[in-house]
Amino acid sequence: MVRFENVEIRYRGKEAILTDVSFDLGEGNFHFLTGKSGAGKSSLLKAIYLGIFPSKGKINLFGRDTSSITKKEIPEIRRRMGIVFQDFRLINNLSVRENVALPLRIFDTKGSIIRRHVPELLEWVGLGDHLDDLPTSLSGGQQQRVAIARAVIARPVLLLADEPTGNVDDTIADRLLYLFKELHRTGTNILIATHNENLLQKFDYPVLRIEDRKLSLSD
Amino acid sequence: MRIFKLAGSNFFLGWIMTSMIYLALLAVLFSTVSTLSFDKWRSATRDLVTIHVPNPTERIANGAGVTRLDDTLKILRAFPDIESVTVLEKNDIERLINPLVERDILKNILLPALIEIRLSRNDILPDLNTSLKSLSTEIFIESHAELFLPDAKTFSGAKKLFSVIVSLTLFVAMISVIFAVHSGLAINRETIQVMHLIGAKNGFIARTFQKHVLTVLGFSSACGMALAMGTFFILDRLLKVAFFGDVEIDIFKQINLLDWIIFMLVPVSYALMGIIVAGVSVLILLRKQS
Repeated sequence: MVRFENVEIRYRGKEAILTDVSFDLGEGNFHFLTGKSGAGKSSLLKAIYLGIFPSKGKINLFGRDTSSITKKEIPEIRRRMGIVFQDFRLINNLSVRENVALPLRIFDTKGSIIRRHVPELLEWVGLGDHLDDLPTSLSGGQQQRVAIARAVIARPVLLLADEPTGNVDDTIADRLLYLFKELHRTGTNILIATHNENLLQKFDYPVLRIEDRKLSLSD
Repeated sequence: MRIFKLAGSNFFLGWIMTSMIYLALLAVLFSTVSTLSFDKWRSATRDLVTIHVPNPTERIANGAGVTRLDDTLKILRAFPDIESVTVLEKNDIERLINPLVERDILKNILLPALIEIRLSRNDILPDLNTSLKSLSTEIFIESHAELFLPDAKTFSGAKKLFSVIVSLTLFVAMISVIFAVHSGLAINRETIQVMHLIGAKNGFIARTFQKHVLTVLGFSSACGMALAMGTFFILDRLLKVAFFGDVEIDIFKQINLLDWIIFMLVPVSYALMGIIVAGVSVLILLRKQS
Protein backbone atom coordinates (compact mmCIF):
# COMPACT_ATOMS: atom_id res chain seq x y z
CA MET A 1 0.00 0.00 0.00
CA VAL A 2 2.86 2.39 0.87
CA ARG A 3 6.33 1.57 -0.36
CA PHE A 4 9.41 3.78 -0.08
CA GLU A 5 12.48 2.85 -2.15
CA ASN A 6 15.72 4.67 -1.33
CA VAL A 7 13.84 7.90 -0.78
CA GLU A 8 15.58 11.16 -0.04
CA ILE A 9 13.58 14.12 1.21
CA ARG A 10 15.08 17.55 1.00
CA TYR A 11 13.51 21.00 1.13
CA ARG A 12 14.69 23.40 -1.55
CA GLY A 13 18.20 24.68 -0.93
CA LYS A 14 18.55 22.81 2.36
CA GLU A 15 20.28 19.70 3.60
CA ALA A 16 18.44 16.36 3.19
CA ILE A 17 16.11 15.51 6.10
CA LEU A 18 15.83 11.84 5.21
CA THR A 19 18.18 9.77 3.09
CA ASP A 20 17.94 6.29 1.64
CA VAL A 21 14.62 5.52 3.31
CA SER A 22 13.03 2.22 2.33
CA PHE A 23 10.05 0.47 3.88
CA ASP A 24 6.88 -1.31 2.90
CA LEU A 25 3.52 -0.97 4.63
CA GLY A 26 1.17 -3.66 3.43
CA GLU A 27 -2.54 -4.21 4.11
CA GLY A 28 -3.71 -4.53 7.72
CA ASN A 29 -0.78 -2.74 9.30
CA PHE A 30 -0.46 -0.61 12.42
CA HIS A 31 2.91 1.11 12.75
CA PHE A 32 4.43 3.73 14.97
CA LEU A 33 6.87 6.20 13.49
CA THR A 34 9.24 7.66 16.01
CA GLY A 35 12.33 9.77 16.29
CA LYS A 36 13.56 12.88 18.02
CA SER A 37 11.87 16.21 17.49
CA GLY A 38 12.88 17.50 14.05
CA ALA A 39 14.05 14.06 12.92
CA GLY A 40 11.78 14.10 9.91
CA LYS A 41 8.64 12.26 11.07
CA SER A 42 6.25 14.95 9.82
CA SER A 43 8.16 15.20 6.52
CA LEU A 44 7.81 11.47 5.99
CA LEU A 45 4.06 11.67 6.61
CA LYS A 46 3.91 14.70 4.30
CA ALA A 47 5.57 12.67 1.58
CA ILE A 48 2.90 9.99 2.01
CA TYR A 49 0.01 12.42 1.70
CA LEU A 50 1.74 14.06 -1.28
CA GLY A 51 2.43 17.34 0.50
CA ILE A 52 6.04 17.05 -0.74
CA PHE A 53 7.74 14.88 -3.34
CA PRO A 54 11.05 13.04 -2.87
CA SER A 55 14.21 14.53 -4.29
CA LYS A 56 15.53 11.00 -4.86
CA GLY A 57 14.07 7.49 -4.87
CA LYS A 58 10.55 6.21 -5.43
CA ILE A 59 7.34 6.29 -3.45
CA ASN A 60 4.57 3.91 -4.36
CA LEU A 61 1.07 4.64 -3.03
CA PHE A 62 -1.83 2.27 -3.54
CA GLY A 63 0.01 0.73 -6.47
CA ARG A 64 0.85 4.08 -8.12
CA ASP A 65 4.32 5.55 -8.51
CA THR A 66 3.93 9.09 -7.10
CA SER A 67 6.23 10.53 -9.77
CA SER A 68 3.56 9.65 -12.35
CA ILE A 69 0.68 11.18 -10.37
CA THR A 70 -0.63 14.41 -11.89
CA LYS A 71 -1.80 17.38 -9.79
CA LYS A 72 -5.38 16.58 -10.78
CA GLU A 73 -5.05 13.06 -9.39
CA ILE A 74 -3.75 14.13 -5.97
CA PRO A 75 -7.22 14.74 -4.43
CA GLU A 76 -8.32 11.23 -5.47
CA ILE A 77 -5.28 9.70 -3.73
CA ARG A 78 -5.81 11.85 -0.62
CA ARG A 79 -9.42 10.72 -0.38
CA ARG A 80 -8.13 7.25 0.47
CA MET A 81 -6.27 8.64 3.46
CA GLY A 82 -7.28 10.23 6.71
CA ILE A 83 -4.85 12.73 8.20
CA VAL A 84 -4.64 13.84 11.82
CA PHE A 85 -2.44 16.91 11.88
CA GLN A 86 -0.14 17.74 14.75
CA ASP A 87 -1.87 21.13 15.18
CA PHE A 88 -5.33 19.60 14.45
CA ARG A 89 -6.09 22.14 11.72
CA LEU A 90 -9.76 22.32 12.64
CA ILE A 91 -11.81 25.09 11.05
CA ASN A 92 -12.64 27.35 13.95
CA ASN A 93 -15.75 28.96 12.48
CA LEU A 94 -17.38 25.56 11.94
CA SER A 95 -18.99 23.56 14.71
CA VAL A 96 -17.62 20.18 15.79
CA ARG A 97 -20.36 18.48 13.74
CA GLU A 98 -19.55 20.59 10.64
CA ASN A 99 -15.80 19.98 10.97
CA VAL A 100 -16.30 16.24 11.06
CA ALA A 101 -18.84 16.39 8.21
CA LEU A 102 -16.46 18.35 5.98
CA PRO A 103 -14.80 15.38 4.23
CA LEU A 104 -18.20 13.84 3.50
CA ARG A 105 -19.45 17.12 2.03
CA ILE A 106 -16.31 17.38 -0.08
CA PHE A 107 -16.87 13.81 -1.31
CA ASP A 108 -20.47 14.74 -2.17
CA THR A 109 -22.04 12.29 0.29
CA LYS A 110 -25.82 12.34 0.73
CA GLY A 111 -27.10 14.68 3.44
CA SER A 112 -29.08 11.91 5.14
CA ILE A 113 -25.93 9.79 5.49
CA ILE A 114 -23.99 12.76 6.89
CA ARG A 115 -26.73 13.50 9.41
CA ARG A 116 -26.69 9.89 10.62
CA HIS A 117 -22.96 9.07 10.59
CA VAL A 118 -21.45 12.23 12.05
CA PRO A 119 -23.28 12.18 15.43
CA GLU A 120 -22.69 8.41 15.66
CA LEU A 121 -18.94 8.83 15.24
CA LEU A 122 -18.77 11.80 17.59
CA GLU A 123 -20.67 9.77 20.17
CA TRP A 124 -18.12 6.99 19.69
CA VAL A 125 -15.18 9.33 20.34
CA GLY A 126 -16.97 10.71 23.39
CA LEU A 127 -18.03 14.07 22.00
CA GLY A 128 -21.75 13.40 21.65
CA ASP A 129 -22.51 16.36 23.91
CA HIS A 130 -20.40 18.80 21.90
CA LEU A 131 -21.90 18.49 18.41
CA ASP A 132 -22.68 22.18 18.02
CA ASP A 133 -19.75 23.58 19.96
CA LEU A 134 -16.98 25.47 18.21
CA PRO A 135 -13.50 23.88 18.36
CA THR A 136 -12.16 26.88 20.27
CA SER A 137 -14.44 26.06 23.20
CA LEU A 138 -12.99 22.54 23.52
CA SER A 139 -9.95 21.30 25.42
CA GLY A 140 -6.83 20.10 23.59
CA GLY A 141 -7.81 16.46 24.01
CA GLN A 142 -11.33 17.10 22.75
CA GLN A 143 -10.00 18.96 19.72
CA GLN A 144 -7.68 16.04 19.07
CA ARG A 145 -10.65 13.68 19.05
CA VAL A 146 -12.53 15.97 16.64
CA ALA A 147 -9.49 15.87 14.36
CA ILE A 148 -9.42 12.07 14.56
CA ALA A 149 -13.16 11.84 13.87
CA ARG A 150 -12.73 14.09 10.83
CA ALA A 151 -9.86 11.91 9.62
CA VAL A 152 -11.81 8.65 9.88
CA ILE A 153 -15.37 9.72 8.99
CA ALA A 154 -14.94 8.84 5.32
CA ARG A 155 -13.52 5.38 6.22
CA PRO A 156 -10.01 5.88 4.82
CA VAL A 157 -7.82 2.97 3.82
CA LEU A 158 -4.84 4.58 5.53
CA LEU A 159 -4.82 6.81 8.59
CA LEU A 160 -1.81 9.06 9.15
CA ALA A 161 -1.57 10.69 12.56
CA ASP A 162 1.12 13.22 13.39
CA GLU A 163 1.79 13.39 17.14
CA PRO A 164 -1.85 12.72 18.00
CA THR A 165 -0.98 12.53 21.69
CA GLY A 166 1.34 15.51 21.71
CA ASN A 167 -1.07 17.89 23.43
CA VAL A 168 -2.81 15.55 25.85
CA ASP A 169 -2.00 13.89 29.16
CA ASP A 170 -1.16 10.19 29.43
CA THR A 171 -4.68 9.09 30.30
CA ILE A 172 -6.16 10.75 27.23
CA ALA A 173 -3.21 9.56 25.16
CA ASP A 174 -4.04 5.97 26.14
CA ARG A 175 -7.70 6.51 25.31
CA LEU A 176 -6.80 7.90 21.90
CA LEU A 177 -4.56 4.92 21.22
CA TYR A 178 -7.39 2.55 22.09
CA LEU A 179 -9.48 4.51 19.63
CA PHE A 180 -6.87 3.93 16.91
CA LYS A 181 -6.75 0.27 17.88
CA GLU A 182 -10.50 0.05 17.34
CA LEU A 183 -10.16 1.71 13.96
CA HIS A 184 -7.43 -0.74 13.03
CA ARG A 185 -9.72 -3.59 14.02
CA THR A 186 -12.34 -2.27 11.58
CA GLY A 187 -9.80 -2.46 8.73
CA THR A 188 -8.02 0.90 8.66
CA ASN A 189 -4.24 0.83 8.21
CA ILE A 190 -2.58 3.15 10.68
CA LEU A 191 0.73 5.00 10.85
CA ILE A 192 1.22 7.13 13.95
CA ALA A 193 4.13 9.52 14.32
CA THR A 194 5.02 10.03 17.97
CA HIS A 195 7.98 10.71 20.21
CA ASN A 196 6.12 9.35 23.25
CA GLU A 197 8.25 6.34 24.28
CA ASN A 198 5.65 5.26 26.88
CA LEU A 199 3.12 4.63 24.15
CA LEU A 200 5.60 2.57 22.15
CA GLN A 201 6.17 0.37 25.15
CA LYS A 202 2.52 0.13 26.14
CA PHE A 203 1.20 -0.76 22.69
CA ASP A 204 2.98 -3.57 20.98
CA TYR A 205 3.10 -2.51 17.37
CA PRO A 206 6.05 -2.37 14.93
CA VAL A 207 8.07 0.84 15.17
CA LEU A 208 9.71 2.75 12.32
CA ARG A 209 12.51 4.72 13.92
CA ILE A 210 14.26 7.71 12.34
CA GLU A 211 17.80 8.29 13.50
CA ASP A 212 20.47 10.33 11.76
CA ARG A 213 18.24 10.79 8.70
CA LYS A 214 17.91 6.99 8.29
CA LEU A 215 14.89 4.82 8.94
CA SER A 216 14.96 1.47 10.67
CA LEU A 217 12.20 -0.99 11.54
CA SER A 218 11.98 -2.67 14.92
CA ASP A 219 9.23 -5.08 15.96
CA MET B 1 -23.17 24.53 5.57
CA ARG B 2 -21.03 27.63 5.36
CA ILE B 3 -17.39 26.58 5.18
CA PHE B 4 -15.80 30.01 4.89
CA LYS B 5 -15.93 32.64 7.61
CA LEU B 6 -18.64 35.26 7.47
CA ALA B 7 -17.67 36.89 10.73
CA GLY B 8 -14.79 39.10 11.88
CA SER B 9 -12.67 40.53 9.14
CA ASN B 10 -15.23 39.56 6.50
CA PHE B 11 -17.42 42.38 7.81
CA PHE B 12 -14.58 44.72 6.96
CA LEU B 13 -14.52 43.10 3.53
CA GLY B 14 -18.24 43.67 3.18
CA TRP B 15 -17.89 47.25 4.36
CA ILE B 16 -15.18 48.00 1.78
CA MET B 17 -17.32 46.46 -0.94
CA THR B 18 -20.44 48.35 0.20
CA SER B 19 -18.53 51.66 0.23
CA MET B 20 -17.02 51.08 -3.17
CA ILE B 21 -20.28 50.01 -4.76
CA TYR B 22 -22.00 53.01 -3.11
CA LEU B 23 -19.39 55.42 -4.51
CA ALA B 24 -19.51 53.82 -7.94
CA LEU B 25 -23.31 54.01 -8.04
CA LEU B 26 -23.35 57.63 -6.89
CA ALA B 27 -20.80 58.52 -9.55
CA VAL B 28 -22.82 56.76 -12.25
CA LEU B 29 -26.09 58.33 -11.08
CA PHE B 30 -24.68 61.85 -10.91
CA SER B 31 -23.05 61.41 -14.26
CA THR B 32 -26.30 60.19 -15.79
CA VAL B 33 -28.37 62.99 -14.31
CA SER B 34 -25.90 65.73 -15.21
CA THR B 35 -25.58 64.40 -18.76
CA LEU B 36 -29.34 64.17 -19.14
CA SER B 37 -29.84 67.67 -17.73
CA PHE B 38 -27.19 69.10 -20.00
CA ASP B 39 -28.60 67.33 -23.07
CA LYS B 40 -32.09 68.49 -22.17
CA TRP B 41 -30.93 72.09 -21.74
CA ARG B 42 -28.97 71.96 -24.98
CA SER B 43 -31.83 70.52 -27.00
CA ALA B 44 -34.11 73.16 -25.48
CA THR B 45 -31.85 76.02 -26.59
CA ARG B 46 -30.41 74.58 -29.80
CA ASP B 47 -33.46 75.05 -32.01
CA LEU B 48 -34.90 78.08 -30.26
CA VAL B 49 -34.70 81.49 -31.90
CA THR B 50 -36.01 84.86 -30.77
CA ILE B 51 -36.90 87.43 -33.41
CA HIS B 52 -36.78 91.05 -32.34
CA VAL B 53 -39.23 93.27 -34.19
CA PRO B 54 -38.64 96.95 -33.29
CA ASN B 55 -41.60 99.30 -33.74
CA PRO B 56 -43.98 96.36 -34.17
CA THR B 57 -47.08 98.50 -34.71
CA GLU B 58 -45.54 100.54 -37.52
CA ARG B 59 -47.07 100.02 -40.91
CA ILE B 60 -44.67 99.02 -43.66
CA ALA B 61 -45.15 100.69 -47.02
CA ASN B 62 -44.52 97.62 -49.15
CA GLY B 63 -45.92 95.15 -46.57
CA ALA B 64 -49.10 93.20 -47.19
CA GLY B 65 -50.21 93.23 -43.53
CA VAL B 66 -51.42 95.95 -41.30
CA THR B 67 -48.32 96.27 -39.12
CA ARG B 68 -44.68 95.26 -39.17
CA LEU B 69 -45.44 92.49 -36.66
CA ASP B 70 -48.26 91.12 -38.84
CA ASP B 71 -45.98 91.03 -41.86
CA THR B 72 -43.23 89.31 -39.86
CA LEU B 73 -45.64 86.68 -38.59
CA LYS B 74 -46.95 86.14 -42.09
CA ILE B 75 -43.41 85.38 -43.33
CA LEU B 76 -42.72 83.10 -40.38
CA ARG B 77 -45.93 81.09 -40.77
CA ALA B 78 -45.27 80.61 -44.45
CA PHE B 79 -41.67 79.56 -43.89
CA PRO B 80 -40.96 75.82 -44.01
CA ASP B 81 -39.25 73.99 -41.12
CA ILE B 82 -40.60 76.24 -38.42
CA GLU B 83 -42.35 74.08 -35.83
CA SER B 84 -43.91 76.77 -33.67
CA VAL B 85 -44.29 80.52 -33.51
CA THR B 86 -45.09 82.27 -30.23
CA VAL B 87 -45.45 86.02 -29.78
CA LEU B 88 -44.38 86.94 -26.26
CA GLU B 89 -46.91 88.93 -24.24
CA LYS B 90 -45.98 92.49 -23.24
CA ASN B 91 -45.80 91.45 -19.59
CA ASP B 92 -43.31 88.71 -20.40
CA ILE B 93 -41.13 91.15 -22.35
CA GLU B 94 -41.19 93.64 -19.51
CA ARG B 95 -40.29 90.89 -17.08
CA LEU B 96 -37.28 90.00 -19.25
CA ILE B 97 -36.09 93.59 -19.48
CA ASN B 98 -36.97 94.58 -15.92
CA PRO B 99 -33.69 93.58 -14.28
CA LEU B 100 -31.78 95.53 -16.91
CA VAL B 101 -33.57 98.90 -16.90
CA GLU B 102 -35.37 101.09 -14.40
CA ARG B 103 -39.15 100.66 -14.13
CA ASP B 104 -39.86 104.29 -15.15
CA ILE B 105 -37.94 103.98 -18.37
CA LEU B 106 -40.17 101.08 -19.45
CA LYS B 107 -43.14 103.46 -19.56
CA ASN B 108 -41.37 105.81 -21.95
CA ILE B 109 -39.89 103.42 -24.46
CA LEU B 110 -41.59 101.52 -27.21
CA LEU B 111 -40.79 97.89 -26.58
CA PRO B 112 -39.96 95.63 -29.52
CA ALA B 113 -42.12 92.63 -30.18
CA LEU B 114 -40.41 89.35 -29.38
CA ILE B 115 -41.36 86.23 -31.32
CA GLU B 116 -40.06 82.91 -30.14
CA ILE B 117 -39.85 80.27 -32.84
CA ARG B 118 -38.74 76.66 -32.72
CA LEU B 119 -37.00 75.31 -35.79
CA SER B 120 -37.00 71.75 -36.95
CA ARG B 121 -33.71 72.43 -38.78
CA ASN B 122 -31.03 74.90 -37.74
CA ASP B 123 -29.57 75.52 -41.21
CA ILE B 124 -32.55 77.58 -42.40
CA LEU B 125 -31.46 80.55 -40.27
CA PRO B 126 -29.55 82.39 -43.09
CA ASP B 127 -32.55 82.13 -45.44
CA LEU B 128 -34.93 83.23 -42.72
CA ASN B 129 -32.66 86.16 -41.91
CA THR B 130 -32.63 87.25 -45.56
CA SER B 131 -36.43 87.09 -45.78
CA LEU B 132 -36.93 89.11 -42.61
CA LYS B 133 -34.28 91.70 -43.57
CA SER B 134 -36.13 92.22 -46.84
CA LEU B 135 -39.09 93.30 -44.73
CA SER B 136 -37.06 95.60 -42.48
CA THR B 137 -33.37 95.83 -41.78
CA GLU B 138 -34.20 96.59 -38.13
CA ILE B 139 -35.60 93.11 -37.52
CA PHE B 140 -32.95 90.79 -36.18
CA ILE B 141 -32.67 87.18 -35.18
CA GLU B 142 -31.17 85.99 -31.93
CA SER B 143 -30.22 82.31 -31.86
CA HIS B 144 -30.26 80.83 -28.37
CA ALA B 145 -27.64 78.27 -29.38
CA GLU B 146 -25.22 81.09 -30.24
CA LEU B 147 -26.26 83.16 -27.25
CA PHE B 148 -25.49 80.34 -24.81
CA LEU B 149 -22.45 79.07 -26.69
CA PRO B 150 -19.94 79.99 -23.91
CA ASP B 151 -22.20 78.32 -21.31
CA ALA B 152 -22.57 75.26 -23.54
CA LYS B 153 -18.80 75.03 -23.85
CA THR B 154 -18.42 75.27 -20.08
CA PHE B 155 -21.06 72.59 -19.53
CA SER B 156 -19.52 70.38 -22.18
CA GLY B 157 -16.09 70.69 -20.53
CA ALA B 158 -17.62 69.96 -17.12
CA LYS B 159 -19.36 66.91 -18.62
CA LYS B 160 -16.05 65.59 -19.94
CA LEU B 161 -14.37 66.24 -16.60
CA PHE B 162 -17.21 64.43 -14.85
CA SER B 163 -16.80 61.44 -17.19
CA VAL B 164 -13.12 61.26 -16.22
CA ILE B 165 -14.00 61.46 -12.52
CA VAL B 166 -16.66 58.74 -12.93
CA SER B 167 -14.23 56.50 -14.85
CA LEU B 168 -11.57 56.99 -12.15
CA THR B 169 -14.10 56.29 -9.37
CA LEU B 170 -15.28 53.12 -11.12
CA PHE B 171 -11.67 52.05 -11.64
CA VAL B 172 -10.68 52.68 -8.00
CA ALA B 173 -13.83 50.86 -6.84
CA MET B 174 -12.98 47.94 -9.14
CA ILE B 175 -9.42 47.70 -7.82
CA SER B 176 -10.71 47.92 -4.23
CA VAL B 177 -13.19 45.10 -4.82
CA ILE B 178 -10.42 42.97 -6.36
CA PHE B 179 -8.15 43.58 -3.37
CA ALA B 180 -11.01 43.01 -0.94
CA VAL B 181 -11.76 39.63 -2.55
CA HIS B 182 -8.09 38.81 -2.52
CA SER B 183 -7.74 39.66 1.17
CA GLY B 184 -10.83 37.50 1.78
CA LEU B 185 -8.80 34.68 0.34
CA ALA B 186 -5.99 35.42 2.79
CA ILE B 187 -8.45 35.25 5.71
CA ASN B 188 -9.67 31.86 4.54
CA ARG B 189 -6.31 30.48 3.40
CA GLU B 190 -6.15 27.98 6.28
CA THR B 191 -9.60 26.60 5.46
CA ILE B 192 -8.65 26.26 1.79
CA GLN B 193 -5.45 24.40 2.74
CA VAL B 194 -7.36 22.01 5.00
CA MET B 195 -9.94 21.31 2.29
CA HIS B 196 -7.12 20.68 -0.15
CA LEU B 197 -5.40 18.23 2.21
CA ILE B 198 -8.65 16.41 2.94
CA GLY B 199 -8.98 15.68 -0.77
CA ALA B 200 -11.17 18.46 -2.17
CA LYS B 201 -10.65 19.08 -5.85
CA ASN B 202 -9.46 22.55 -6.89
CA GLY B 203 -12.71 23.21 -8.75
CA PHE B 204 -14.79 22.35 -5.69
CA ILE B 205 -12.74 24.70 -3.46
CA ALA B 206 -12.91 27.49 -6.05
CA ARG B 207 -16.70 27.11 -6.42
CA THR B 208 -17.19 27.06 -2.64
CA PHE B 209 -15.12 30.22 -2.23
CA GLN B 210 -16.96 31.87 -5.13
CA LYS B 211 -20.29 31.15 -3.40
CA HIS B 212 -18.90 32.74 -0.25
CA VAL B 213 -17.72 35.84 -2.17
CA LEU B 214 -21.09 36.04 -3.92
CA THR B 215 -22.84 36.04 -0.54
CA VAL B 216 -20.63 38.89 0.75
CA LEU B 217 -20.79 40.80 -2.53
CA GLY B 218 -24.51 40.27 -2.97
CA PHE B 219 -25.24 41.65 0.48
CA SER B 220 -22.73 44.50 0.01
CA SER B 221 -24.21 45.37 -3.40
CA ALA B 222 -27.71 45.51 -1.95
CA CYS B 223 -26.49 47.73 0.91
CA GLY B 224 -24.48 49.97 -1.45
CA MET B 225 -27.46 50.28 -3.77
CA ALA B 226 -29.87 51.10 -0.95
CA LEU B 227 -27.48 53.73 0.40
CA ALA B 228 -27.01 55.26 -3.05
CA MET B 229 -30.77 55.39 -3.68
CA GLY B 230 -31.32 56.90 -0.23
CA THR B 231 -28.67 59.55 -0.82
CA PHE B 232 -30.08 60.35 -4.21
CA PHE B 233 -33.61 60.60 -2.90
CA ILE B 234 -32.50 63.02 -0.17
CA LEU B 235 -30.49 65.10 -2.67
CA ASP B 236 -33.45 65.15 -5.02
CA ARG B 237 -35.67 66.53 -2.24
CA LEU B 238 -33.01 69.04 -1.16
CA LEU B 239 -32.49 70.31 -4.70
CA LYS B 240 -36.21 70.82 -5.15
CA VAL B 241 -36.65 72.72 -1.92
CA ALA B 242 -33.40 74.64 -1.69
CA PHE B 243 -32.71 75.71 -5.24
CA PHE B 244 -35.75 75.53 -7.44
CA GLY B 245 -38.61 76.44 -5.13
CA ASP B 246 -41.90 75.65 -6.78
CA VAL B 247 -40.33 74.73 -10.12
CA GLU B 248 -40.65 71.01 -10.65
CA ILE B 249 -37.23 69.41 -10.96
CA ASP B 250 -37.69 65.66 -10.70
CA ILE B 251 -34.33 63.93 -11.11
CA PHE B 252 -35.86 60.46 -11.02
CA LYS B 253 -38.23 61.32 -13.88
CA GLN B 254 -35.25 62.27 -16.03
CA ILE B 255 -33.68 58.84 -15.75
CA ASN B 256 -35.03 56.44 -18.32
CA LEU B 257 -35.16 52.63 -18.35
CA LEU B 258 -31.80 52.26 -20.10
CA ASP B 259 -30.13 54.43 -17.45
CA TRP B 260 -31.70 52.33 -14.70
CA ILE B 261 -30.39 49.19 -16.40
CA ILE B 262 -26.87 50.70 -16.51
CA PHE B 263 -27.28 51.66 -12.85
CA MET B 264 -28.28 48.08 -11.95
CA LEU B 265 -25.42 46.68 -13.99
CA VAL B 266 -22.81 48.38 -11.77
CA PRO B 267 -23.27 46.10 -8.71
CA VAL B 268 -24.00 43.10 -10.94
CA SER B 269 -20.76 43.60 -12.88
CA TYR B 270 -18.81 44.10 -9.64
CA ALA B 271 -20.28 40.88 -8.24
CA LEU B 272 -19.38 39.03 -11.46
CA MET B 273 -15.87 40.46 -11.34
CA GLY B 274 -15.55 39.45 -7.68
CA ILE B 275 -16.60 35.88 -8.50
CA ILE B 276 -14.09 35.63 -11.34
CA VAL B 277 -11.30 37.08 -9.15
CA ALA B 278 -12.24 34.66 -6.33
CA GLY B 279 -12.10 31.64 -8.63
CA VAL B 280 -8.83 32.63 -10.26
CA SER B 281 -7.20 33.55 -6.92
CA VAL B 282 -8.10 30.18 -5.37
CA LEU B 283 -6.79 28.28 -8.38
CA ILE B 284 -3.52 30.25 -8.32
CA LEU B 285 -3.14 29.64 -4.56
CA LEU B 286 -3.75 25.90 -4.95
CA ARG B 287 -1.40 25.69 -7.90
CA LYS B 288 1.34 27.28 -5.77
CA GLN B 289 0.64 24.82 -2.96
CA SER B 290 0.68 21.68 -5.09
